[in-house]
Amino acid sequence: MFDKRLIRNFDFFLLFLIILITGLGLVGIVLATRSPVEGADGAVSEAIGSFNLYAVKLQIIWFATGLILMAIAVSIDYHVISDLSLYGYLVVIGLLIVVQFFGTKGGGAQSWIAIGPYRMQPSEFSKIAVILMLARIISKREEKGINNFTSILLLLLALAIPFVLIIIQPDFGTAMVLIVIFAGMIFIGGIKYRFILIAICAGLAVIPVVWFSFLDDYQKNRILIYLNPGMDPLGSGYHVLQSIMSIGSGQLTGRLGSGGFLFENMLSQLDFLPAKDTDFIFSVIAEALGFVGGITVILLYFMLIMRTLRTATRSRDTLGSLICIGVASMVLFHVFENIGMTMGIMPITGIPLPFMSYGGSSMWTNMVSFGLVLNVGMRRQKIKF
Amino acid sequence: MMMKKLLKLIKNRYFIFGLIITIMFGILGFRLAYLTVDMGEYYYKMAQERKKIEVTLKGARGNILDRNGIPLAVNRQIYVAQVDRKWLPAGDEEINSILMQAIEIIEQNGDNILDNIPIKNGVKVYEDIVPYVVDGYYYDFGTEDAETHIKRYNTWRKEAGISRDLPADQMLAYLRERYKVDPSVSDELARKIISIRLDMYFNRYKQDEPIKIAEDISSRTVSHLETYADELPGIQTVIELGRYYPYGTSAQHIVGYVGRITQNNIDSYQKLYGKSPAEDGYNIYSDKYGQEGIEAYAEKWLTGNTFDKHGYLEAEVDASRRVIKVLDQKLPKNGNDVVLTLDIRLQRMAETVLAEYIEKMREGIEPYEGDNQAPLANTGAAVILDVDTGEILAMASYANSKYVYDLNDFARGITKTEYSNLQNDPSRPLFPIAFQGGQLPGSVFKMLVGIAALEEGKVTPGETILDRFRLRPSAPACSSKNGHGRINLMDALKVSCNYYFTAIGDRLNIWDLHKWAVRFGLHGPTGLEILSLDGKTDFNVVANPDVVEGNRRRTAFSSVKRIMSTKYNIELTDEQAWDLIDIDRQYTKLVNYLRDNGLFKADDRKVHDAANDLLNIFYEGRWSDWEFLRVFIGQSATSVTPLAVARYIAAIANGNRVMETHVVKQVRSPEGQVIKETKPKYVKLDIKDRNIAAIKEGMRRVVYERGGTGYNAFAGLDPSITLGGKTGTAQVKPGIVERNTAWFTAFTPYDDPEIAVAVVVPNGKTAGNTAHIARRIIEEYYKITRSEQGNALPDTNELVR
Repeated sequence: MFDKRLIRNFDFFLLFLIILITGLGLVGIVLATRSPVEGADGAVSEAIGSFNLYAVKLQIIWFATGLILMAIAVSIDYHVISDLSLYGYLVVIGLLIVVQFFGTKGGGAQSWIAIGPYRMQPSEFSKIAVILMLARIISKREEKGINNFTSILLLLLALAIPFVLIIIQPDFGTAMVLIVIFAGMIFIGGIKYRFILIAICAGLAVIPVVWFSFLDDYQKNRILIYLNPGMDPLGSGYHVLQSIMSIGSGQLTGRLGSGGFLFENMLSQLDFLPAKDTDFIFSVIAEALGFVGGITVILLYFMLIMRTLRTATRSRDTLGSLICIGVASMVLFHVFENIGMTMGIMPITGIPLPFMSYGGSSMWTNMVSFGLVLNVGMRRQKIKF
Repeated sequence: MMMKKLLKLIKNRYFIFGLIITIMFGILGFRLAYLTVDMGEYYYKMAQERKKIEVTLKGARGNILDRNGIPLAVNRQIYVAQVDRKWLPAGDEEINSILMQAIEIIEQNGDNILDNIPIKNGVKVYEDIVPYVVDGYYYDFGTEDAETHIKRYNTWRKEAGISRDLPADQMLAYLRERYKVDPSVSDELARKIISIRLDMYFNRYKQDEPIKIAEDISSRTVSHLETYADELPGIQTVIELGRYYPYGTSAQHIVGYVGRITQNNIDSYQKLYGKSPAEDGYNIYSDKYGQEGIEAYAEKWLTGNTFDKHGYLEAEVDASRRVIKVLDQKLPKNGNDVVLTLDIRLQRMAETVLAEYIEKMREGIEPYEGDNQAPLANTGAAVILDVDTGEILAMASYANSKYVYDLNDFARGITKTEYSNLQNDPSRPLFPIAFQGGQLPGSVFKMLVGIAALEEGKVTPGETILDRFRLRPSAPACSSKNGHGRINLMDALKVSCNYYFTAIGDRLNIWDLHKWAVRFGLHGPTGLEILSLDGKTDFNVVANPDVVEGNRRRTAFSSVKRIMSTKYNIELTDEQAWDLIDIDRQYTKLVNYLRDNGLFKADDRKVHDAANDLLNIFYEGRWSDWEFLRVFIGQSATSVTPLAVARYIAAIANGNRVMETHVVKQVRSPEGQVIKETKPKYVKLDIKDRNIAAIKEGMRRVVYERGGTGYNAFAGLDPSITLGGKTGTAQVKPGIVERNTAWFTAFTPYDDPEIAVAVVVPNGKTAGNTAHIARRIIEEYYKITRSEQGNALPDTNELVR
């Protein structure tokens, strides 16, 4: 039953990348949650005491439990998982509906289900469900191809149900992730360029309609500010400018490297950054470690995604490739949107940085996703019994 | 071959996918390099600067003190709940959830959320020719004027970034959507959340400045908020200086109160100084501003918010905005103290006496048993004036209201319900009857008639006139059925003989009387500082043909509009209504006008009914001999305030000067230096001493001689107290004695007078009823000012509260 080749084909490099990224994230969380030191006269013990390890501990616990989930996702053949994906998909849809009616509003949008003291967010798991579902549909219809009416309808349907349920929560960020996953997978699935062109044109045509009839002044304002953050420096543009300033002030090697960092309070510690330990972690890293640190993070993600793409090309069947592409698309969007937002080239949404941002749901989703990628990579050769 | 391979590569979708990934990461890399390497130094410098904060420090508001230095308005430490936006999470839903919990905690503990949004909920009555009522959400921009309302509405929308034009309920729904307030939240709670969110929006350029959500909260609320501090990031409780009125239920109309700057304040500031208060250093979203009374009048002296009072603090702060190191600072200057002429002991005494006696009057309790019971007496006023300086020592306005007008309720931010309770109470507790409540003077007017006739040489003090009950058929009757016999001026005052005063009045030209009314300040402003405020009026009018004609035209205007609308279904324009009034009693012209303007068709017979109705209206309320004679007994269109009457009595008492009344004694800097002192201002009267002496003698007889109208009420008075007085019973609704306005005015002591007193009770039935009040006030006045014991404060424990 157990094949040695499974171990031999296990992509340890990918796992290593994930551990590195998570480790960098921990450094960021430590720096972000450290209380500021009072002046240069503070004693060394005081400076060390200023570290708050509570958040770090939790993040490590999430990573550890994530590893277990990942191991489960790795060990079951992805074909079996794919066969079960319809049930998983339906369960997620069910949870999304439950959230709509019974979800807690405590945290804001109606997107949490409270189980005892713990809360879970079904929209996170919907990403995996959609990846698996789309992969299954496309691979099942391999002979007919996807450039026909039924296939496109089926695929759109599989996307639309969770998409609509998530957008009415409302959680625009996650809804956008689903769109990107969909786009990436049908692109690799072989959708004709003609359809892509039509979709782009339709999208462009819809923009003015949305602008003039659906968006409120307030929302328009947000978009305009994104296009020009200086317009409203202390209003909505405040967060962006603060983040840009904090990244820029890291310069080449960062303020951590400039010596005496223990006593020097960085901007991000002075609370100039909003939601610092989750969404703006890249700013913290870049401020502390400068260009060197920032580019390291970017390169690590680049390698992670390219490695996933490589796994996709080497998969033994379309199903495996598509799962990898779905995960790659998801992570690509998360990384580009989150880092882009901290540097002012993307609008602000609440999308976390995979493995780095502090938070359990997101960590687990990413661990399971890459568990699937490892799963595909491991089983790239046909196993003979 | 190479070419073909490349083409195949390009066709490979995995290759394209990889290319997209590479490009996107390239963008991120280049952007990072640009920000850190190219711009790094710039941002680093910018970042260094950000740790320094500069805070504007504002001075404390000055105190308001009574003439003996007893504080009437001071500052004390209050707890304030506020939002510090830097600690708030980013999402709308998260912010709303935090605000919702904070509001719940604050309200559960019985404190109020600041209500700054101009969308209000409740029953709103719109005053129109035909008034109408709206129950639900409506806009409140603090104005009844339609044009101002629209102007402010548009300004508000512009400031709030709203381009839509919606009715209040839909606007609220729209704002709910804009701020993503959960649909399950009740409208009222949503309104409060949105109010705070809008405040945050208005202050979006002052991100460092916290947004207040509740003021003067209890320590219980504070401890609750602190307990939940972990779940409520951004919600803070801080100590601030708030206004406190140690005697919050006394002299409310005079002291006034402070509140947040309203659009009305900004408009009148603009009118006064030609600029917005913001340009003088006020923060128009959070600073306090005098809203009524002296707080409003003396705003420029009291305030610590203007630039000349500002200080600053430059410091390094840590994340919790605690000051680590002070780099530079300049302490602010406090506002100046305002000392009033009021003696709070006399003020409270007058208020207590008024309340006690008017209640007895209403209930028919001794000395108001039997015929003297005045069941409708609900309000009243008493004024004590220094006859030499015009200083107001006490000025009490009483209202029998279920709700207490307490200045401290206003200082902490009165709720809409509390405010409308006060505003809609039939006894009008918010209305300063003492200095704005114009009343028919009745017989207290007779001294003026006497002086006018004496000075114009139409009568001498000794001349006797035979009382024949009625001067002529069109004249008002005398109170005594058999007449008073042959009577001179002094005795005519003593018994308040209507015949005598219509007779000497008949010898006078109405304009001669008017001249004396103006000299004595009964026609025109009293000079009171508070009444110089924007939008305040000082209503003292003595009837003359012009006044009566003006009143008639105003009444005719609304009658004409009403009858045409209700009876003939014709809505006249204002211009048409005035045209008809100008045509006046010319029947044919009226008919022609109604036809020519297309209001009636040429063959419509109803035009004659309409013209007749108009004629009936136009015949009413004209100046006539009857109206002319009634002026001399204080009836007709005359309307004077208790303050104006007190000042006229003071002029009689001092014999030759009409003082400008005032309530501000001086303005002092916090160090005690006198900045402004009110000097007595007066108009010298040229009245012969013997004429004044005759009037005073008449007033003495009112109190001290058997048969005098005040004799009974002053029976058994402490002989060390001397006074001259005059009663007045004005008929408001002929035939309904319960609606009579009762007056008593006096000066004391009789020789070398110190004070003038005026007491009025609308619906007080008979002047004798107010004489009891005046007597008690005068007795208490002497107790307080003469005996050392009386110097004790009325309620010392209130001070240390």
